[in-house]
This record gives sequence, structure tokens and C-alpha cells, in this order.
Amino acid sequence: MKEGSLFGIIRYDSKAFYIAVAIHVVILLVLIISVSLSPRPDAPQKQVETVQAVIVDSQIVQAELDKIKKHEATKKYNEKQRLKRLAAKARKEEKKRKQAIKNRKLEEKRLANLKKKRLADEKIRKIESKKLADLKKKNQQLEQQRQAEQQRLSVLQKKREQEELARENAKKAEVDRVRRAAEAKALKKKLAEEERERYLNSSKMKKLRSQYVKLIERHVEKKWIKPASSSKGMSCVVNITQNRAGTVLSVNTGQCSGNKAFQLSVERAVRRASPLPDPPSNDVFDRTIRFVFKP
Amino acid sequence: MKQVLIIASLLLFGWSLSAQAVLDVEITQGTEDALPIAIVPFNWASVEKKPDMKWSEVISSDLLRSGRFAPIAEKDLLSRPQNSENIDFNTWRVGGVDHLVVGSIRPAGLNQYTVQFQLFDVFKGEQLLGYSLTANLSSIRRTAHHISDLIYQQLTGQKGAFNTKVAYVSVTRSLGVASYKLEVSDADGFNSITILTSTQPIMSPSWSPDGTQLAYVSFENKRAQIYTQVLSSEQRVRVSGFKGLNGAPVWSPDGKKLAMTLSKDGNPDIYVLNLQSKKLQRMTKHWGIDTEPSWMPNSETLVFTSNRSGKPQLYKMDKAGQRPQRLTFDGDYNTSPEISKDGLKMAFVFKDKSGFKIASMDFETGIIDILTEGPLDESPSFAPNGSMILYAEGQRAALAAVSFDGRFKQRLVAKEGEVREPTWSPFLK
Repeated sequence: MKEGSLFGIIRYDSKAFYIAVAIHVVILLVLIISVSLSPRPDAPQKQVETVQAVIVDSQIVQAELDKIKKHEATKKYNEKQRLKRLAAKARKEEKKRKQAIKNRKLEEKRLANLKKKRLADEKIRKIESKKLADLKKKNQQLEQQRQAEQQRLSVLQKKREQEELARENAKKAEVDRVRRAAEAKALKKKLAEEERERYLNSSKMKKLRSQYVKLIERHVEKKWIKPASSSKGMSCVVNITQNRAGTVLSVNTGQCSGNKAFQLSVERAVRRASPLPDPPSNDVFDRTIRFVFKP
Repeated sequence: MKQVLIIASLLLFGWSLSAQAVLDVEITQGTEDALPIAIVPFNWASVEKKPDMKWSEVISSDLLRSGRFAPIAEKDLLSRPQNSENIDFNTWRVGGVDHLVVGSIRPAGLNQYTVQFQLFDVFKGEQLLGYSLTANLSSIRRTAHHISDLIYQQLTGQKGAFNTKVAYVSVTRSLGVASYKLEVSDADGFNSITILTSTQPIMSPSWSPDGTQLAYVSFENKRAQIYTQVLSSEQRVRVSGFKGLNGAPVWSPDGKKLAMTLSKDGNPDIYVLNLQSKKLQRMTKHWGIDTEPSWMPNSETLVFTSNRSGKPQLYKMDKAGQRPQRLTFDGDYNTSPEISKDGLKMAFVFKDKSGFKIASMDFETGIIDILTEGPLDESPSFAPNGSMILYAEGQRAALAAVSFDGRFKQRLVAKEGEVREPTWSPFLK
């Protein structure tokens, strides 16, 4: 977000920014002026020398000649050196000039670039600010959407709560209904049982039941082999279950006084007695019979 | 709260209803039928020679004799399982057998055997007894009787008396010379041994309550005298040699006294000899004949035979011997009283027009049961558990036993000559 921060600065401190830009421009101008004011190198000056020839004794001449020659050579050398130096100086000047031109061109290019960049920056800034505006707009839209959604949800929640309440009420009602039904059923059953009890307690039924008991009693007495040790005062309770055919299904000994042989004998008696006699009426049949053996 | 109440009332209601719905049947009467039982022949689990005794026969015969059991004859056995795994209880149940005994014997050293047996309740399909016993060759019959005792006790609740002894007098005559023997045998008449032999009469043997001694009357000195004899050592003591009759010795249940009949003071009366102090106490003093004393369990009170009413009848005296109370009023001849060990019953000889019979009287009810047919039955003696009465069949000269209720009679081993005055031992240790 470099750009962002730049634009941030522009946005929040535009004065500083413009001061900075102005300073840059001043510096730039100073630089340009200084370059254009520097001295231009002078054009090289051509020097032409006249030779003066004199003949002398050969030897002397020669010597003179040599001397002249030597002097000539030295002179020549020096001239050459001086020319060389001049050439070097000229080259240097030329180079300096070229460098100045180059620098100026660079500076121009840099300025052009700067300008170009400024334009580009300006363009970017505009785009950015537009983007920012768009973003802001979009955020507003999102916020609106969010609020709309929230509202929708709260409506939904309310609806759900109402439904839940309705369901609970229905459930309660059902439980109530079942309970009432059970109570009604229990009452009905109780009444039916009372009715049946009345029936079973009727004198006719009592007579039938005592007949049945007598039948069983006689039958079991025939099957009970009293052990030698059985005596008055002993007693043994044996509970049995039978099926409709009189078959003894289970034998459970309850309270039993007397010895083991006595207990075994009564258990054996009820097992030996299977199947037990048929009841005189279906209504007096009972799956459970409680025997009390009392010799 | 309301619901709790409803549930509670329903529960209570249901409970009271079901409590009422149970059929209540009270059983006060039963039968005295014999218990059907099958004794499967014991398996001999060895290649060695089998000892010559059929265990199942000895046990069956014991149980049969008691009158309490109806053992299935060996030939009628439905199957012969040798151990519990092979038993099909249902088959036996259908066959009407209530109990089943299986067993096996195997050698366990020289003349030693290990006997195992199990008693099963067929209806329950359960083992009621299971024992492993050791026997040696000379005691195998006793071991078999012991097994009978264990079975008997388990199923009747009463101690078995098969592994006990009987003493009696046998008389043989050859070439006009009588030989009297005092013998002791197993309760089934087997394994008899002779305690005393005499050319003169031996009478009235009586066991000491610990079963180690016999008291008896011997005429070896040409007149009746009373002796006691230790069975193991044959050591004899003459305890009574008064002039006149010395007869009918009977050991008191506490073993301290001997009741007897003496005529030293004129006619026969009942006396009690204290065996420790040797003091003699006269118990009856009457012009009639008083004899055959028998002790009540308290070792104080005696029942005896007396003809003081003109005919022999049974009387019971109090501790001091005062005011004897007549016990028998039926018939004109009641003799030889013997009181059961629990003191609730009395066996005696009852005579009616068809002869002398063994009868019993229940002291509580006074009811008399005639147990045998006669015509010459004598000397009743209770088994120590009261379940049987041993007596002599005078006509056949045999030892016989009758169950206490007369339902089952069996002659024991028949003897050469006569058998007189059998008497059953107490329980032996």
C-alpha cells in the first residue's frame, strides 16, 4: 500500500506535499543555470616557425651542425611536447564539453521523465481516488445488505420460536390426552376387575372354587407320601404355577418348618401331582396355587 | 402428586387382587405309601474278582424291609446308568420312580474297596446325596447297610437303623438233646455269631444302651440266673442269683440300672438293681405275677405285665412304683411290652381268637394297631429309630420284622430249629 500511503499523505497533508514539489523545482532550475554558465573551451592556436640555415667549417660546421641539430631536436621535441600538451588540453576540453552536453541532455531527459511521472502520478491519484470512492460506495451497499439480512434472520428466528411454542403446546396436550386416556382405561379396568371380583365372589363362583380346591386337595393328598418323620406342628408352603392343562410348571418352596425330608416330600408331592385336575369351570382356574402342607 | 396417588392406588389394588387370586390349598392328609426307588446294580470297576455281594440287593432289601420304600425289582429297571451323566430323568419320572441310586465299587488295596454312590431326586433332577466310602471285605455288608441308612435318613428325616445288630436265642435239638445259643447278627439276620452256647435254656437277652453288653438269663446252673456279658471280650458277670426265679433283665436307657423279675420274696415281682451300688429296689408288691418290665425313656418309670386283674395285662407304674396304672383293656391277653426309644409307642403281644399277634399302642391316642397275623408271634422289639419291630414267628421259627405301621413284613434269615426272643440293638457307634 505504498501508493495508498502516498495518497494518504497527499490527502491528509497536501500543503507539505506541494512545498516539497516547489523545493524540487527550485533546485532543478539552479542546476540548469549553472550548467549553461560554465566557460566554453577556446579553439587551439596554430604556430609556424622560420628556419635559419648557416654553413660553417665542416667540423665546426659539423659540430655546429650537430649542435644545431641537437638544438633543433630539442626544440622540435619541446615543440612536439607543447603540441601534445595542447592536444591533450584540447581533448580534455572537448570531453568536458561533450560531458556537459550529455549532462544537459540527461537532465532534460530526467526532467521530462519527472514531468511524465508527475502526470502519471496524477493519473494514478485520480484513479485511486475514484477507486476509493467506489470502495466507499460498495461498503455502503454491503452494510445495507448486511442490515437487510439481519432483519430477515430476526424475522425468521421469531417465526421459529413461535413454531416451537406451538409444538410444545401440542405435545403437552398430547401427554394430557394420553394420561387422561390411561386414567380412563385404568378406571375402566378397575371397574371391570371389581365387576369380575363381584362375579368371582358370587356364591355360585365361591362354590365352584371350593369344589376346585377340594379336587386339587384330594388329588395331591393321594400323591403326598408323608415321610416317617412328619409330625404335627410341621408346615410347609409350596407355590406352584400350572398351565391350562394342569401341568405343574414351577415349584417354589416358601416358609417351611420341619426337616429336609419333609420339605422334599411336599415338593415331590406337587410334582407327582402333575397334571392337576381340571377346574369345574374355566373361571375358577388359576395359574398359581399356594399349597400349605400341615400334617 | 396426583399421579403418584393414582399409581400407588393401582399398585395396591393390583396387589390385593393378585393376593386374593391365588388358590390356597391346604394339605393335611398324605399317604403312607412306600417311596418308589430304583437301586441300579453297582458297577464293579475292575478286572479283579468281584466280592461276592450284590450291593443293590442288600440296600434294596433294607429299604423294602422298612416299609417306607418300594424298591424296583432289578429285572424291572428301565435302564442301568452308571453315573449321573447317563441318567435320563424323564424316563424314570414317566416310569413312576421317584428316586434313583447309582453307585460303583473299585478295589483300593488288599481286601479294601472304595464304594461311591449317589442318590437322585428324579422329579427335581437333582442329586440329594453323594458319598465315597471305604470298606474292607469283612465289613462290606455293614457298609451297604450304612448306605441304606444314609438314603433312609435323607428321604424320611429319620435316622436309619439298618447298620445295627440283633440278638436272639436259637434252639436246636438233635437226638433229644437241646442246644441253646445266644447269637448276635446284623439287623437283616446275616453274619450271625454265637455269644454263648448251652445245653440249658438261655432266655431274655437285653442290650446295654451303649450296645457293648448283653444281659440274659441262663439256666446253666440248673436254675435261672442273670448274667451280663461284654460282647468284645466275652467277659461275664452273674448279677443276680437269688433263690427262685431270676428273669427278664432289662437295661435302663441311662445304662445304670437293670430291671428284672425276682421271686425271692414269694411270687414274682419287679425289682431294679443299681449296677454301680448293687442296691436292689423292689418296685412292685402284689400277690399277682408281675414280670416283663420295660423302661420308659426317663429311666425311672416302668411298664410291665401283670395278671393282677386275673388275666395278663400291661401296667405302667410311676417312679416310686406306686399305683400302677392299667394300659390295656382290649382282649384278655396282652404281654411282652416294649417301649419305643422316644417313649411314644409300645409294642406288645396281643392275643385274639386267631392267635398271638404283635400289636402297637400309641400312648397319645391310646389307639392299638394289630401289626401281624400270628398265630404264634412273640417278643416284639423296636428298632432304635422306631421304624420297625423285630419279633419271632413262633410257628416258623424265624426272625421277622414288621414296619411300625404293619404295612410291611419280612422274614429275615430262617434258622434251623427255633428262634426266640429277638432284641434289637441300640444305634451302634
